[in-house]
Amino acid sequence: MAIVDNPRTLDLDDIQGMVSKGYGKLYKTAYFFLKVDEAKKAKLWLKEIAPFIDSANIKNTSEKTLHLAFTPSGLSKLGLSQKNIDAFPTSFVEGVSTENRNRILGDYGDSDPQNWRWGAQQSDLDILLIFHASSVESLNAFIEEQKGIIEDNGGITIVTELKGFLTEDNKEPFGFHDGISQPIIKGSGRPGPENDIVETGEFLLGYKNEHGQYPFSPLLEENQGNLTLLADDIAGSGKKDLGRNGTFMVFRQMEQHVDKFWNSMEEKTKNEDGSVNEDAKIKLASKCIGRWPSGASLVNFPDADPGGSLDNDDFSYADHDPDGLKCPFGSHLRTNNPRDSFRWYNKEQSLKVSKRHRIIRRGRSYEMPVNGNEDKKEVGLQFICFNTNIELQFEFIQHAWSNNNQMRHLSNDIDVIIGVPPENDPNNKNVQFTVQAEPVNEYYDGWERFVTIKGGEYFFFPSISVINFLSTL
Amino acid sequence: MVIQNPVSLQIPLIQSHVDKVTEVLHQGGKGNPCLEEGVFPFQKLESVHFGRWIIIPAKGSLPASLFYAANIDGTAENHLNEIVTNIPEGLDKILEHCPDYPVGDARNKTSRLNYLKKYEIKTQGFYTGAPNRTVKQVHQEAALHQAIKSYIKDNKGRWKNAKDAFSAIKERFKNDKQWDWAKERYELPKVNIPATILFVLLMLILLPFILFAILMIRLFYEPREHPKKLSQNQIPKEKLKALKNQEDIIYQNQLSQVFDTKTGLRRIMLRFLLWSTTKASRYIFVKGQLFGTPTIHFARWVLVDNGKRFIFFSNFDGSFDEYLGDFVDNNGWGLNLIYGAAKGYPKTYFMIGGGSYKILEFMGWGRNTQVPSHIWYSAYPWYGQQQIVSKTILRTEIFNSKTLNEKEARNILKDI
Repeated sequence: MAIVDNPRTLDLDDIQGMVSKGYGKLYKTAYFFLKVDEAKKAKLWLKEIAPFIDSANIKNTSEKTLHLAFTPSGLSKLGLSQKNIDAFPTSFVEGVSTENRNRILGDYGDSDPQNWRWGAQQSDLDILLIFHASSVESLNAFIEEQKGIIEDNGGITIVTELKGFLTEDNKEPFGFHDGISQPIIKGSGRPGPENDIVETGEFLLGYKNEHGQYPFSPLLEENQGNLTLLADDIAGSGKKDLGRNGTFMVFRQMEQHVDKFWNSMEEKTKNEDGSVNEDAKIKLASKCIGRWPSGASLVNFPDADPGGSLDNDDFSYADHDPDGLKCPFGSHLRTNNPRDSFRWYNKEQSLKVSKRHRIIRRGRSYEMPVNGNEDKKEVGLQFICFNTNIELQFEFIQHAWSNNNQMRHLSNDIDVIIGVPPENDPNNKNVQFTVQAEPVNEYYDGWERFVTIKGGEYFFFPSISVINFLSTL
Repeated sequence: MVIQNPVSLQIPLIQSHVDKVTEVLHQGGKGNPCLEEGVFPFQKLESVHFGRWIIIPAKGSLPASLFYAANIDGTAENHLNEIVTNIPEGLDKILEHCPDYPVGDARNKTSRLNYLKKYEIKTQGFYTGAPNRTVKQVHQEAALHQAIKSYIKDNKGRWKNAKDAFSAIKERFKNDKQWDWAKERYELPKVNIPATILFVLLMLILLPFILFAILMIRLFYEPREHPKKLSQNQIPKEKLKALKNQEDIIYQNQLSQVFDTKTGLRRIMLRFLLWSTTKASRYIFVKGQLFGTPTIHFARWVLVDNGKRFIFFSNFDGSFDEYLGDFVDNNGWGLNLIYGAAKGYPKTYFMIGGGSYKILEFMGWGRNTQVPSHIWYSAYPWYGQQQIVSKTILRTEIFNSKTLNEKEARNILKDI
């Protein structure tokens, strides 16, 4: 695939950096969930830290970064009027957990939001503060400094703290190189593979999306705050746009059951005499994921893992694997981004559909003691993604693709990594994974869930100028 | 060969009973989706693929009415008979809220049947995703598919090539009495070529008129159409929530919409387009996709209230957003042609442009015109449309076809 130019047209200084930058060298992360106690003081704090928010400008190469996201209750407590909050998309206003959304996302059973440790419209979750730093020491120093500022301010309280990290080889807890395939925002100035350059409006409000239209953006319904800080609605309504250069952030804490995952792969691939077949085990796991542990694509390396650490994303399905013989149709990779081979569509139509349902992922691994017991660790992913239309991007991918047990000709296969079948489907305990093979396909039964959702919420991730605006309410 | 048919009944309501009948339809909370037997146990009707009861709300001078729709095997006559034979109590509970429904001794099988027949109306537009299959056949073919998969799984590694594997499967299933039903010759629906040629010729003959109509609509109708531009986010939250609470429970979903019909040429064109869609569905779109959209089981359009309103009902796979998005991706222009006749539809250009391509506005319009499907039933709630189609193909390959070469065998096996 050709690497193409992507000239910079965006005002990167106004966009929070995390949208376009992965901070691959800032290995350590902390997430603070904040409660606003006193709006006036909270706004002073906002004003004080706003200048330190890292922007999307690639010239910024800070050793530590800071980003901010808001829930509807946060915006409300800071003083944004109800009428203006109601102008936000329904998904954000309602939050990640509603009766319908729990079904769409498969949040039931162990993943039931009632059991979550945070989120699901928790009343004191107002603001999310995200830190990145290069090492544990620098992160800790950074956090301490910020805690001091928060304490001195007195208008906000830290409700929950979470941590996250990237390993140097960028492997997630199951042991696979992660975060390789990312869309590139058109206009960000970053060149990339042609098929990965996606219209700005899929990831930033106030720009045209892959439908050639402006995504739904929160417009100011009644004037308040310092309006000079806000852009005009580009669609021409005459209203001020709170959304421009901002986006929506989905945050889900996903516990990964690593032992269960590998035991399951081992059980399903044992030799006839009952002994473990290490190669077959890794191969099946890789078929489920769609990449080898190194990150190498199954399309490019169908037989064995070339090893090392690869972030090669230069592959497509239509020409090189139309029948799923290399990378199965039901694999995590192929279900969540079908690239140029969706359903029975031709390449052009497939890419059109795929590009309308992409997300920018900023997930990081986590480890935390179980019930305070330092010997026992819960591990998983702090899944974060950005999109301008939560329903047509994040929720669509989870529901229409990951949880869909009947993609293409498959009849009871979900993405066994993150997919969840409907709660009342009589077949939901017999989910299969099909490895396309010759002369006949191979079927693997008896899957448990390897991921449990432990927390989550939808956030507004505004532009830097809108953060400044919020401090003027 | 059995052809699926639509049954549409629009039954008047005693206007003061709208709330009462709504409550009856909701009784037991098992109405949508109707997975267990509720007020109107569709489960007792063997001929029904999908069925629903909705209330068309009153608007202006148009009264509220009940609407019953079912997609059935065989004739409407047989189906109505099946209802009055198998679900008389459920029917009574609902129709007691309709004027002149027989009471006391006058209420019997015949009078119920006559009452239903009296309100049967024409279905102007109808599409079947998997034509020429009975409910029973859909279930049988699913069971066969499952058994073939299990057989392949149990014999993993036994076959050297696709031809051997296919022969073994064929042998195994042909010699098992359990699958004797599958031996009955079944022809997959084919495009009806003579009818298609006639249809295309007719369209060519009518082309000058169609173009003239499009031009007239562009000049005299479209400039006067000023719909409200609402996205789904601007639909009253309570309404949206109530609709969503009935969605995404099974593999399929339902959509019931009620529209006010525009007048004049728009209305005439609507009738023509629905007629064309029905014909094209019956003769051309017989392989499981309607203009490239592969997730629709059944769809229908019915003119009600003397054409002043029309309804659209659909049974489809996936969520509302997925379905509407899919349609726009595949044939937004087709949506524009038909729904351009609905008041409030996003502004079209030359009947085919604009409209649904303004996707946020289109989805907002979709939600705004949606009404709850109080009772909604699917005979096979967990089967995708394409799975139904491909399972029939597999059955015919196993039971009807000749010996296959390696490539042909591989092509069949890869999709199991």
